Amino acid sequence: MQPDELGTVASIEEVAQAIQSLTDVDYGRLYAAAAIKMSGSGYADAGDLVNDAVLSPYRAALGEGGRRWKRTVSFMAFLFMTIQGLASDSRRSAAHRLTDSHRQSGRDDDDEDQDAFETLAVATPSVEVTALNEERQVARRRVMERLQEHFKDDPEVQWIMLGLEEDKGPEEIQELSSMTETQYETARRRWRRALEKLVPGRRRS
Amino acid sequence: MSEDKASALFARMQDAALEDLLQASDQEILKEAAEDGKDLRGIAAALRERIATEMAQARRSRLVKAREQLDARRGSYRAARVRPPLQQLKQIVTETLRNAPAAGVAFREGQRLTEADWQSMYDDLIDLDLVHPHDDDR
Repeated sequence: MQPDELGTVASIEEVAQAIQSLTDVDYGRLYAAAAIKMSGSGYADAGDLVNDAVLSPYRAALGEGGRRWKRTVSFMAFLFMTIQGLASDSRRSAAHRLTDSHRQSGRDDDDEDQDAFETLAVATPSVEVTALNEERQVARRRVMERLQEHFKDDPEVQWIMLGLEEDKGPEEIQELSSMTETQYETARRRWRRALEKLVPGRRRS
Repeated sequence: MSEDKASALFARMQDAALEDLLQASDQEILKEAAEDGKDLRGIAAALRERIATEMAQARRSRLVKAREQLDARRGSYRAARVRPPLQQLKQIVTETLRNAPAAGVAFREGQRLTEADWQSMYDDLIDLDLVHPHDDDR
């Protein structure tokens, strides 16, 4: 830990206090965020992702891995970033696990075969990884098509989707579309609510 | 659109949705949950219970680890202890943990503990120099 971080990293008591202060609405917000972000990751349930995100700073404060919470960032914003990070890590490790298990399956072969297999495994993704990628691509495409269909008569949301496609920020989208801030926020809320319902993944309500 | 671009766009969509969720007011979240028939209280209760259990487990494993380190340092020797009666022992453990949060050894009010748990915690606190056996005479 860098000396300048010493004063800002939350202690175990501060993390525990922040966790205890989470309200029902906070948990609802975290659950919705996890349900959106878990798509394509190794998480099968949004609750698992929320659980890991909330426990992460606690484990870090105990010195057992996890992500450290700096008090300069609001706890909720930190948890959102942690959900994003854990989902991305899980997405990568799911692919690695499949590659590793494929490599492991060749262990009984003789050395020459094993070398050849590992060369092949590095050069070409395994059947499982390819299948996983294809599954994710199909799911993504389906969500995008449904969003387009759902909002075909909603020009404000269409601007938002176009802006995201072109990697434009909120201000730029507002300027290009002549939407007021309120119109933009209301439209983005409509879009987000639809996305929440369309993103694949198991969830409880 | 190439798959790389589609993947990047999907990630941007997810992040934009999260930004919107973070900015939504509590009233909006409540309203949306009611519209969707979501049981926020139930979701929160289940998560709270699970998180509290895992926090307690993490604290306990930390305590076990600390005890193992102490045992190793002391040549794995732990003298047979004469402990005070259970009620007094519980009081000592409870007060010590309340007064020494920096020890990182946590205690949850209402947690069901067996007699052996209490005795083990008492021994741990002695090993951590937070309780001194002569204090038991009070």
